[in-house]
Parts: sequence; C-alpha cells; structure tokens
Amino acid sequence: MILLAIWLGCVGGNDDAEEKSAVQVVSSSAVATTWMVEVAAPGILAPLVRHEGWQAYHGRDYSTAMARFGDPGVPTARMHTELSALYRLTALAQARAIVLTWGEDQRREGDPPEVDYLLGVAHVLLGDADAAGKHLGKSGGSTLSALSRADIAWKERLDAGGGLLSLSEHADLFPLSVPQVGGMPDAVEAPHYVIPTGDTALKAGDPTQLLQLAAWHEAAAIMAGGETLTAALLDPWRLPGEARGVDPIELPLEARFLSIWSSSEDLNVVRSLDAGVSGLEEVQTLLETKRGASIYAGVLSKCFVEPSLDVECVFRRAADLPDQLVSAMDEAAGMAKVDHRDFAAYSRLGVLNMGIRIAEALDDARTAGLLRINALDVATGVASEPLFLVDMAAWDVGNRNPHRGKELFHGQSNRAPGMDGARYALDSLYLRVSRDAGVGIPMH
Amino acid sequence: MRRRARHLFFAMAVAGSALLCAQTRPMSFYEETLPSTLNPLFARSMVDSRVHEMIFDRLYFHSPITNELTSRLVESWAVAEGGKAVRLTLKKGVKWHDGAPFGADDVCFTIDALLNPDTPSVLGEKQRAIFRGCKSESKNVALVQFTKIFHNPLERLAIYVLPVHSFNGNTAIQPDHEFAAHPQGTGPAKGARGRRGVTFNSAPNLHHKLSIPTMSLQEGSDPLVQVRTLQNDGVQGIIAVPPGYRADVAASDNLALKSYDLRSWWFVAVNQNKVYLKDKRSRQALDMLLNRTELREFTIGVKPNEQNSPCEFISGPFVQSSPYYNRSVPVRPVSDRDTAETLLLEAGFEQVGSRWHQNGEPVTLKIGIKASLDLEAPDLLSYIGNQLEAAGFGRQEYKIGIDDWNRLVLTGNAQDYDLLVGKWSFGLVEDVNPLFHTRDKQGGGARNIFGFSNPEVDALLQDFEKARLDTQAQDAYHKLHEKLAEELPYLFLWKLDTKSAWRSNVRGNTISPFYYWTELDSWKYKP
Repeated sequence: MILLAIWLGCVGGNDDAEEKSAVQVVSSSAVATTWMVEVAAPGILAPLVRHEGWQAYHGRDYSTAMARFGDPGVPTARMHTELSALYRLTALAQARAIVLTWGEDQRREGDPPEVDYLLGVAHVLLGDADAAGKHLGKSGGSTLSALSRADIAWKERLDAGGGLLSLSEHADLFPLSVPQVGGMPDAVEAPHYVIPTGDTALKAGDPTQLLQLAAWHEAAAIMAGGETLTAALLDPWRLPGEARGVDPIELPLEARFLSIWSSSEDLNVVRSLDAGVSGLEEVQTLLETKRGASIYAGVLSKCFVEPSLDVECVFRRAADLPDQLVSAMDEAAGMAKVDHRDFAAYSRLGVLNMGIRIAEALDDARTAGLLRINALDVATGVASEPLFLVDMAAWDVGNRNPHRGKELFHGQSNRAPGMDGARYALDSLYLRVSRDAGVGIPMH
Repeated sequence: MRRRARHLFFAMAVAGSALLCAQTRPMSFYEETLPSTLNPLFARSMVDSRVHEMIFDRLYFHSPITNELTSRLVESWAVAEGGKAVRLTLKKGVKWHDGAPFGADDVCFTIDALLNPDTPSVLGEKQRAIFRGCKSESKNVALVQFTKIFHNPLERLAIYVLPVHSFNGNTAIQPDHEFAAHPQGTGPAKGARGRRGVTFNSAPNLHHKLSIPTMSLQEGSDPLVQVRTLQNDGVQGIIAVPPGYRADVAASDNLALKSYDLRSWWFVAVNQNKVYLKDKRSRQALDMLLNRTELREFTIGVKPNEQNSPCEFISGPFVQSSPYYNRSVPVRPVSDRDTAETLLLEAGFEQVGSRWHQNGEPVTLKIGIKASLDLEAPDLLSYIGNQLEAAGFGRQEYKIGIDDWNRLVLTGNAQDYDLLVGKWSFGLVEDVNPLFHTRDKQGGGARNIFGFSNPEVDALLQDFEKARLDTQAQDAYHKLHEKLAEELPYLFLWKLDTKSAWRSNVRGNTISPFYYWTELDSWKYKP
C-alpha cells in the first residue's frame, strides 16, 4: 500500500481527465468581434460552407476556389490578394537565397558571371536599389540572350527609377496577359536559364516572373475588391522595400473567414507594427489601445517583461485562447459543434504571428525566432496557413538555413503556378551551405 | 476507525511522496533505444548523436533559433597560415565534468585523435580530408590546420571536444575504452549509463547552467504504452512519436507535438550476394512487387490521396526537397506484377504453382527489420512479407535488436538476410558514400549493409567528393540517384518526418535540428 501511495504520488493522475475551468484570456467584447464567433451565430456559417469556393479555399486550393468565386467581390479579391502575397513571399525567399549564395562575401571561383543579373533583381526585391545598380547591366555580353535582354531591360527600369515592383509590360521581363478578375495567368516553366559553368550548368529561375505574378494578382484584386481592401490584406506580407498603410480598415467577414486575422483590429495592429511602430513604449501603447477589439493584442498586452515579450507567457496564453473562443462560439451557436475547435485553432497561429512582429519591432531576434518555431508547431491541420509557412521558409533562408526552408517550401511550391521557379535559388544556397559544412555520417 | 486512519495514512503518504517527488523527480523521456556508446567518436545511431549533444560541446554550432554560427568554448578566432588554419582563443574557466580545466591541449588532442589512423572512427576517417593538424600554442590558444583553404572555415569545426587527460594523451582511441561508458564532457549534463537507461545530472559550468537537476533517458517500447505513460505524467517526453499516435497526443491539452527537423528516409536493403538476387532484374522485380501506397496506409496511416502527408515516396537516397534528389526518376507508388513477373522469368526464376523457384528450389526470403522501426511503422515487416508472399515468395521475418543491428548489420556482417528494412537520417550533410561505396580501408562504404559494389557507383561517389563546383556535386548525385534506382541495392520507400511530444510543464524546450539538445540550458521542468 505504501509503495502504491508513493507510486501514485510520483506518477500523478491523468491531467487530461481533469475538468477544465472556464478560461478568460481576453475580454468578451474582443472575442465577440472575431470571425469565429460571428460565423457561429445561427444562419451565418451554412451558406459559407455550402459555397464550393470556400470549400476549395479551406484546403487552400486557390485554383479551384478562384474558379468557383469568379465574379468581382470580396472573396475573389481575397484569393487574388493571397496569391499575390504567396508570390511575394516566394520571391523574397528566392531573393534572399540568391544574395546569400552569390553575394560579395560568398562568391566562389567558378561562379558564372551571369549571377550578377540574378543578384541585381534580388536586390530590387529586397528594396536595395543601390546594390541592384552594382549588379545590373553587367550581363549584356552573356551568350544567354534571354538573360542578357532581361538584364538590359532591368537596368533601364532601374535607371528610370520608381515603380520597380509594379507590373511591367516589357517584352523581356516575363510579360503577362492583362489582369483579369478570377483569372490565373500561366507561368513560364523554370528553369528560365541554364547557365554554362565549367563542364556543367547552373539552372536558375528568374525572380522577375514571381514579381510579375504578384503584381498581376494585386491588380486583379484591386479590380475585384478595391484598392483599400487589397492594400490592407497585402500589408503583412509585403516585400521589404514596399510602403505599408496604417489607416485602420474595417474588414467584412468574407475578408477574414478562415484566416489568421480574427478581427479587423488584429490586422490593423499588425499593419501598424509592420509600418514602423517600434520601441517598447510605443508597442505597449498600441496594444493597450487595441486590446478591447483585438484578441491578439489582448493576449500579448499581458506578456511584456521589459525589454521584450515573455515567450512562455505568450505560449501559455496563446494555448488558452482557443478554449475561450470555443466557449463563446458554443454560446453563440447555442450548442457545441465539432468545427468550433477547428476554427479556434487559427487564433493560436494568429497570436504568435502578431507576437513575432512585436518581437521584431523590439529588435529582439531571439524572441521572434522562438515564437516562429513555436508557430510552426501549431501551423498544422486546418491551421496550416500557406502564407505563414512560405513566410517561415523565407525567414529560414534569410538566416542561411535552407535545410528547413527548403522542406517548408517544398510542401507549398505547388500552391500556384510558377512558385516552383524559386526552387533553383534555394537549391543553390542549400548546396553551398551543405558543402561548406563539416562531415556528416548517415545515422539511425 | 482503523480504516479511516489507514486512509488518512495513505493520503498523507501520497501527498508526502508527491511533495518529495516534486523536488527530486527527474525529467524522464523515452528514446528509441539506449545509446550504444557515450563516446562521440563512435556514434552509430541518432540516439548516440542526441545523447552526445547533452554531455559534450561542439567547438562551433548553429543556434537552432537564429541559425547563427556560434561557440560556447571559443572566445575569438582569426584566420592564420594564409587561410589554411584558424587560431582559436578559448574561453578561460571552462571545466570538464571532473573539474579538470579545459584548454587548447584538449582541442588539439581531439583533432590528433581524429587524424590517427589507429582510431577506428568512421567520423575520423572523414575528418582526415579536412584537418591537417593542430598546435597548442598556449593553454588557451589552439591553431587548427586544414588541408586546404575553406570558405567559412568555422563551419568545419562542429566537432565534439574530448579531454586529453581521460586518455593519458593516447590519440589511438578505441571504442571499448571505458570512456564510452563513463565519459567526461564539458556539456550541460554529466551522463552515466545504467543497464536500463541513462541518467543525466546538471553540470554547472562557466558556459552552461542547466536548470533541470536530473534527467532520465528510458528505452521506449510499445508506442501505446509510451503515449499512455506520457499522458499520465509517468514520463515527460517522447523523442519520436509514431505517426499513428500523433493525433492522440495532439488531442491532449497537457501535451504538445514538437517538430524535430531531421532528414530521414526508409529503405529495404537487398542482398545482391544471394544467388537469386544477384541479377538486377530480380531486384527490380521486387521493387515492382511492393505496393508502397498500401504499405504506407497500413503502417503509417496515410490515406492514398492525403495532402501534405508527413510521408512522401522517394525513388533514390535523398528526400524530395533535397537538391540532390533527381526528379526525373519516378517513384513507384503501386505494384506492377505483370512487369515484375516478366523480369523474374528473364532473371532465371520459374513459377511452379504459385511459388517462385530458382535452380529448382522455392525461394524463401529472410527479411529483417530494426526492431525500433517496427514500433514506428507498426507491422511494416509483416506487410512487406505479405506482399512478397502474395507474389509467390516464401518469407521468414525477424526483428533485429539494436545491439545486433550495430554489431552485424552496420558492419556488413548480416549476410544471412535477403532483405533488411531500415532508415537513415541526415543532418546538413547528405553524404551517401558510407551507404553505397565499395567497402575499403579508407572508410568508403562504412555503412554498406550487404557489401554492394558497383564501379560506376563508386566513380560517381568519387565525382561528388572531388567536385569543385556545387553544380558538379549536384550532377554527380543526380546521376547516382538514377544509377541506384536501376541497380537497386535498396528498394527506396519514403521520407517520414519526426515529431516529439512533451508535456506542457516542460518549457523552453527548443529542439535543435539533428542534434536535438543544443539549447538544453534553456529547458525548464516543473514537476
């Protein structure tokens, strides 16, 4: 008996079986503004889930969703915007990989001179026109006529200044058809260039194509849903050199349904952070102001420990938030439903995404990294948000970690035509990093 | 009255023991197996690699959070000898677990041990292409010399440092040296292997402060028992949760699934030394007889058209996301019995009734699997056997314990078997020379299970090693992939991701790619 008692004391009971007390993480009024609670009200969800467009979007099948939505309106604008964002993030990963593979301190004997062209375009994407100017215009003598012509076109564009990230109609810069609501333009299959080097060849994708595709979908989104909505939805996923808006926007339900932004204010806070709110005081003030209408601001406002966020507090409160949402959804619906738990799962990823941006605004790379890694663990099942996953891949690549970045990208590269073109740059970085490493023996 | 007193006593005992345990209870976790050695020179398994990360420090390592290349042992560094060496100034005050001071002599001893041909280390044989030597210039300054100028030379210094005093300066280190059971490291924990597990005690140091006093590694058995024990707080973590149990873990409020970044792929090695498997057409036939979609569904639980599956088929020795993977070589998701039968007939097999014969004898395949893998993909061995039996082969099945796997299979001494089911994991470096090169005295083919030997394959592996350009290396491995898919020393199955599970009272538990425990100092456990 004594042994049994000691064993019970050490092992403990099954915690999962314990009844959970009601969780109040954030204010009820903030919870009421979320799309999760909105759709739980009788009569709201059914027409949404019956629509084949939303059914396809639930699995992030953009091509089918676009075909089913088709007409101008918020859902179509949202599809175009997310595609534009996906292309932007993919281009970002590609640009970072190019710079980290062939940038000045990494250039190796045997690298073909044409990598200057790739570096030039990469620097444009990274918002560094001066660096781009040092590399563009050098490949005019290349035997690869397409690359040579693109180099000249980009140099002219750079010299003309302005609008570098907008859609180009230049015949040598991967021209696309006129933007069309509900359309999906074809992409030129990569590799775009096979550059001779020694007795072998370097296969490369041109980041220009991704930029063009991003700009095309942005234009189509504006046609479908207007400039304000498109700009606001794009803001969290813009390229480094792009301007971001801060004017608050009120998003309709269809702009938030099944997204990681539960309310308009969640997105507005993230936009403010991305647009330049920085320093602990400014960030805390922003969250305090918004916590009554943004559940993520509510969660995170309680997790500051000078000079940054307390990571464990964020994890704990982010994990508790779905329980409060589920309770509110059950109450709104008048009953518990299976999909309430699924919908609530988006919120955990949303909190962590806002947390990442707060840590970055506070120049706290370690906390931002910890939050990202944790977010990756919750970005599963219904919450496996492609935008976050490609953003994470781009972050990994920027940290010269193509190993996980490549794996994440591999899982998303078929979401939209042309995304796979970034693979070649990621491969090049992977090869360089892997061959720079010491020895490794297969294990298991 | 006596009964009440007894209940009161029982309750007090539970409460008392809970309090006692809360203070002294180690953080326990299930590993796939017990480690085979605590000496990092002789790591043979992922378990070994993970355990070494707890006990030792690598000279340089990548932060699992920011990927920054950093060191806990080196204060500063400078390029020397025109780029063919680096001068490392070591931190003062770092101590070995037995209290001896750590210094430049230890760094140079480690490199000398790696370079000593009498140290029978696969890792050492590989390092000889990188290191030329090492000079201890003072107590805390070591000059590490390379065989050539390397870009980013510090990347080559991800080596565990060993204490010179534990070996009396003898650089010819043997696997059976007592150090393998009672190591001295500078890492966050001091490890001691017992018969049923490994205990790790916090080893405070200048550069480490592990907040968990004691950790306990236990060998995992039945995955269901592992998961239930975790749910009941009998252990606090499981390093690798089989796919079939992940949903169960994810549904528990007190547990969290954590990604463990590891490049792992599964295979069936084919013994081409057997007369009936010598002809490559017979190996190709076996490849075609496997229905991988069914195997994956029945053992891993992946539905045939499931999106974003953790398990992706492969046609060669790389995961599909690797730049070395040759996408022009197709995977074989389902069986093709008609073509397989044609190939078997061309290879000299005869079909007598429903059984395949060769030289007048029915062919029975002896199939083995590393026992721990049969837990991860339950009944994989049986399902493979079933498919081959349904196609006309007899079968005998064996689960191989870790000791026999290390002693016989990895050393090429399991020639009794016809087929062996296994798995390889890689970190940043995807060097498959140890798997497919002809076994030689220079360390080639050190993990060549059945002694596969093919001059074209050897040449391609050499091309890879000698490649000056990244594209040359990639081309060599693409050709290798194609050649191996034709020769089939392995029937390639799939890549499978790895997930750990930890209780929510284990916090700060950042898992490092491949090495797992690199950030152990940040782990916290509240019983």
